[in-house]
Amino acid sequence: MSSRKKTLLKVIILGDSGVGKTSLMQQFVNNKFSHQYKATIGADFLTKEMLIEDKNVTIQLWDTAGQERFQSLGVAFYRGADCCVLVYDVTNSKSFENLSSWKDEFLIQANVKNPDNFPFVILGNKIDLEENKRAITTKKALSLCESLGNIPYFETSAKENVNIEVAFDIVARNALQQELENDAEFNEDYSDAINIHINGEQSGCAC
Amino acid sequence: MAFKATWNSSSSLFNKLAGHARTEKRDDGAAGASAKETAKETVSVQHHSVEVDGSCNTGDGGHTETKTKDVCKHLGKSEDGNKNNNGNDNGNSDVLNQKDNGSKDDSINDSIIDNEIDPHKTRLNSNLNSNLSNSFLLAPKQNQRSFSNPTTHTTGTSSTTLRLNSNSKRLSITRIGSVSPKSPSTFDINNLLLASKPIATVNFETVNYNNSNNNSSNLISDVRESLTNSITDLRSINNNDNSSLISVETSSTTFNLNSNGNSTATRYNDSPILSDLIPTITLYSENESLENMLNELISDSQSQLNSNLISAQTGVIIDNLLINFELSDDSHDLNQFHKMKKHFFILSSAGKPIYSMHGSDDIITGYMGLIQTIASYFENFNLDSNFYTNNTNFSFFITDPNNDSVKSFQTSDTIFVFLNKSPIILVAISSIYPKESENTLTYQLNFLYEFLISSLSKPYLIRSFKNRDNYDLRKHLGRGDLSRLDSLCNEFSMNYYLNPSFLIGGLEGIYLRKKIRDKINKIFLEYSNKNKKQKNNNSINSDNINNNTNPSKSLLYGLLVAPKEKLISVIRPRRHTLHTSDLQLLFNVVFNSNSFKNNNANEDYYDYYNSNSSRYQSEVGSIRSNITNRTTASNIFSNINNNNNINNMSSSNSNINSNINNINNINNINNQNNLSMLSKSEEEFWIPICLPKFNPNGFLYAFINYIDLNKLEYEVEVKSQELYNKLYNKNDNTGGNNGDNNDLRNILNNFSFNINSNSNSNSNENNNDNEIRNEIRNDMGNDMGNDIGNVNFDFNSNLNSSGFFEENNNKIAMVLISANKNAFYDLRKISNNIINSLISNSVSANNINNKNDQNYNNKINDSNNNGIGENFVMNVNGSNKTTNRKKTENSNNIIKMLNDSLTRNRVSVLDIPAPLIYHFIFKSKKNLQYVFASFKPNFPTKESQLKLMILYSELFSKISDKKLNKNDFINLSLNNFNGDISANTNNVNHLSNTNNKNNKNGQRYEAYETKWKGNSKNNDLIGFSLISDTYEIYLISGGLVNNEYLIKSAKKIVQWCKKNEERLFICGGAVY
Repeated sequence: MSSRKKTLLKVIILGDSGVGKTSLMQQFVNNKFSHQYKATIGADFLTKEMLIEDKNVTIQLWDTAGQERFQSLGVAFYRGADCCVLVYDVTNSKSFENLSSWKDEFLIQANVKNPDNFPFVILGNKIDLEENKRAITTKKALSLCESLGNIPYFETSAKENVNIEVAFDIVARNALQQELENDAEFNEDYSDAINIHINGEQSGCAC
Repeated sequence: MAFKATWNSSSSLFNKLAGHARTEKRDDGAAGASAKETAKETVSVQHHSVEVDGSCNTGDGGHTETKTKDVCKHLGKSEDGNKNNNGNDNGNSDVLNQKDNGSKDDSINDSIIDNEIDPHKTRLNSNLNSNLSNSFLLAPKQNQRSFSNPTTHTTGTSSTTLRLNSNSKRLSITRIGSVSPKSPSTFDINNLLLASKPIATVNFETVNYNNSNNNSSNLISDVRESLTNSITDLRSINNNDNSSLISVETSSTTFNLNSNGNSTATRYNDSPILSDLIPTITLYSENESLENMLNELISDSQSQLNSNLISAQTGVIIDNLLINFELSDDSHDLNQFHKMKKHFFILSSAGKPIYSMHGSDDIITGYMGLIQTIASYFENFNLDSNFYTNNTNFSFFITDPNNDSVKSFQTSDTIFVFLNKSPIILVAISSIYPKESENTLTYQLNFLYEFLISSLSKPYLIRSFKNRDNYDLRKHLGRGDLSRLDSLCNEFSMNYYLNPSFLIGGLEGIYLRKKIRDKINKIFLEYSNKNKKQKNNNSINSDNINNNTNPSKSLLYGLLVAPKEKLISVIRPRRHTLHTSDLQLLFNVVFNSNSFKNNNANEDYYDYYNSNSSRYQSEVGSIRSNITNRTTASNIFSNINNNNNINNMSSSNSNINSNINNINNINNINNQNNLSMLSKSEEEFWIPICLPKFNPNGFLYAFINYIDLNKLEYEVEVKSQELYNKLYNKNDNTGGNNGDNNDLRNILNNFSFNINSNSNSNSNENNNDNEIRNEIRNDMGNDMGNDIGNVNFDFNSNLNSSGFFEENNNKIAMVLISANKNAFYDLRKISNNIINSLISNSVSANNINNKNDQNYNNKINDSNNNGIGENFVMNVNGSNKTTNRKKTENSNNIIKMLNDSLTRNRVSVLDIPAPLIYHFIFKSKKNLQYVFASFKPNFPTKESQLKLMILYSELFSKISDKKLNKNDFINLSLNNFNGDISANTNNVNHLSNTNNKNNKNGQRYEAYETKWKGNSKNNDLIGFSLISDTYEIYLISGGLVNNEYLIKSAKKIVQWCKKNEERLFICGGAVY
């Protein structure tokens, strides 16, 4: 544990089952893609190093289970996230419609201090599939993103590695920005002196 | 319903973690498998892994991989799938596949069991041996002595490797380890006899021991005896699947069989010693047919084994004890990470890493998420304490129902403990053997937590995370913090304790005579207590900048600590004592931080454990350079000491004169209140520290000053000599000091004061107990006798950097604690005053003693000094009428006595005497201090010392384990424990009811005993502990010693320790 200069960002990936969360992660971290579908149980964890403006950033990716039956991991699971990535499948309108409920659930469970400013990113995955299968147009997606609070939007393909790097670059930048703002608020001085009353009875251990 | 789903998913998470943490597992195949399968693998792989891994640091990789593959192959997983997951932090689990696999597997299990294990279908035949040989036989390697890559032969999936035949009642096992490296030997073990479930003894009635080289009947009977006596741990674990597994071990070989047809064998030692032949059979089975069959075997021959039943209390086999040694690292090597037997993780509640003992950031970051997920699962489902499952080979329970911040679960050889100290989570994972209890691990985690608090303070920690769950605490941990965390974790990750304090939960005091301790306390008080007038505070110390405040107001606590964290003296406010763990934290700072201490370590240590991490190697480098520095320093001092010797011995003028020149070059004693040059330390530190038990909400400030007693002692000698010269050799050329009457008057005034105070305490003591004094003297004489030649023996084997085995280091630390941030100069002044007072006190003591020297006396008489001198002498004479003055020469010299105490051995069992006791620890509950017996004479080697500590660890952890089998307790109805012991020895019984713990007197005793097998009966060891309301005593003795003797010895030791309480312990210290 020596390399402490790096900033660590906790990024949570949410979205309906089968939209390609795990595939996105795998492509992003390992540059691999598998056609097989394997449901994620609970959560998987990946890390990826990024260089953002000369700053080493470690992204701690929390790839969550989309399937409801594997979701009950608890409130604390979302706690302390620096950014949340919402994923839907551009060929699956249900997954698109669920985006805002995913967002709401995250905000509730993560106990975010400042929900309006919390960094989200929305990804429309599977754009490699034929155009006629597509259920959600870019325009529709953009308008939703705007209504949810100007959330950055990317259309990605985990299979063909389209737009993933770009999207996560924004994820990292937004998370960093958020963290800087948090740090700024914390810079008050802190007094740590103990007031010892030698003959007092309150402080200390009298065992 | 929801709960069930969650449980399923989470249990697979546990298994993922189990898979990751398991030392020998290379890939994450486990993560891909279903919970059941993982658990199964866990068992099959784990049981022997402890021994294999530990004993053979190199080359265990090969077999494990084979085994894992084998298991996976059987489970119907393609190896490809397995490989895909290799090197990937997360097993990307596929629930659908799992389900398929799971069901397929069950059917496979069933079929195998039906076909292979069914007693009626299985017959023992002549092919069996060869069959087994093919399956298991490890090709013996010629002349292979050292550890090597184990050769592993495994069967295919179809053949069952262990066959039991109920008709012939034979269990035939091919011997795997060869007695002679040249010929693979085979013996049949007939009549597997099992006493009862779940723990049973195996009796191998007939042993056909075929060995062309060694065929004497003697050996065979030896083998039979050892086989018969071998403890067998037969466990049935309720698997709800049908897998069963039998693992057979000898100390050199382990092989596992399970009914699925998988078998693995591992050999890790070629040493052809008899103890190799002791097999241990472990059965994990829910397979009823197999179990019934075994029971059949048992019931048939039950009558034959009664005499050889070995009690359930048996612990590890001593020869199998492996010294676990892992050091923290930040290696990028995932394999190495997984191999580690002990892990500590500290993370934020959000899952962000704060500290990990092993592994680089890129390795651990993922695991932190995993851990956080499990912790959040705990949080979400507040399981009641009754929740306990044994379904999947790990039990899961809440350690303390009243404290739900601790959660733990365990597999057959790995225990996971989670300590949730929101906003941070601490996790310990241990597969150390002998197994650590969750209490032990919880204690360690708490200590790590307190360490963080001591560095950051609680409010800071809380505030950091307030409204910012995503806070990254690493920003606020400095290098020093991390290296101290490392050193703590290193300490905790061995299966022995270098520092017994952590094991015992107390501190060790230095052995000092009460008089000396009182003197030190008095000096402490004199210079720190505001109610008392300070004497001779004439000169204003230039260091004292804060002159407007009384320095003593600043002082809260004062400690004088010897190396190895032994307490010398304490000054404390009347209402406050310091908690042991606070002191341990403080000592960790004082002695364990690399920046402060002058670290010594023995090079052997590194040879011993050379194969460890790179970080360690670099540490070695720095320590080595320290050693060289020290060597030169000690060379200088040995010169000085030579001079001293001359000083002491010489009575002739010429010698003295020659020395005077030396002395004058070094020092003058014109003004006593000047800080002497030699004692002036360059090593002063001022550090903020939060003592969590004292007050977790803020910092105290510690002034730390390291004092080299060798230097001080030398200085005392020099000053004594000068004083002597001034008094009696006024004509000598003393460099401008000659005959300054005013100076002399000052000096002597001071000295007479000191002498008077000494004589007071002397006479008190005389009046009180002259007998005891004589005894003391005798003790001292004895002790000295013991010590001759032994000095340095105990600690020459300075195995570590934390001080336990450290070579004699005469540097003590003065720690003065203040609540005032700006009190540095105040405390430094107090410290200097105390040091000076120690010196002057010792100087005067020296001179008192010197008068007993005939030559000295003559000189005094001859010199016909002026009035000052006569006064002095009269004073001296008036205060010392006791005889035997010579014998206790310098016994009033605090510094010399202290120094002697540092170099002397710990109390030996021979001092008590309790000759059959090999070693003991006595803890006084009142003083929260312990006596740790000297390793000599029974544990002369480093290795034996470490093994002793392992045994203690096991003893302690068994005692602290709440789930301890009640049978392991011995009930002592010690009605008259302090009286006639022999009358009560018959009352040593197994405890059937906890209520029996109370005896008539209301004094509660708890006794515990555990036995360890040696390679022969004579080498068995027994661990015994007796815990009363006021003390705890732990003994290690030979296995042949009976309970009566143990209790007698315990009593002797207790009495001895109580008698010497004031020397062994700091009783209260200086209180103001």
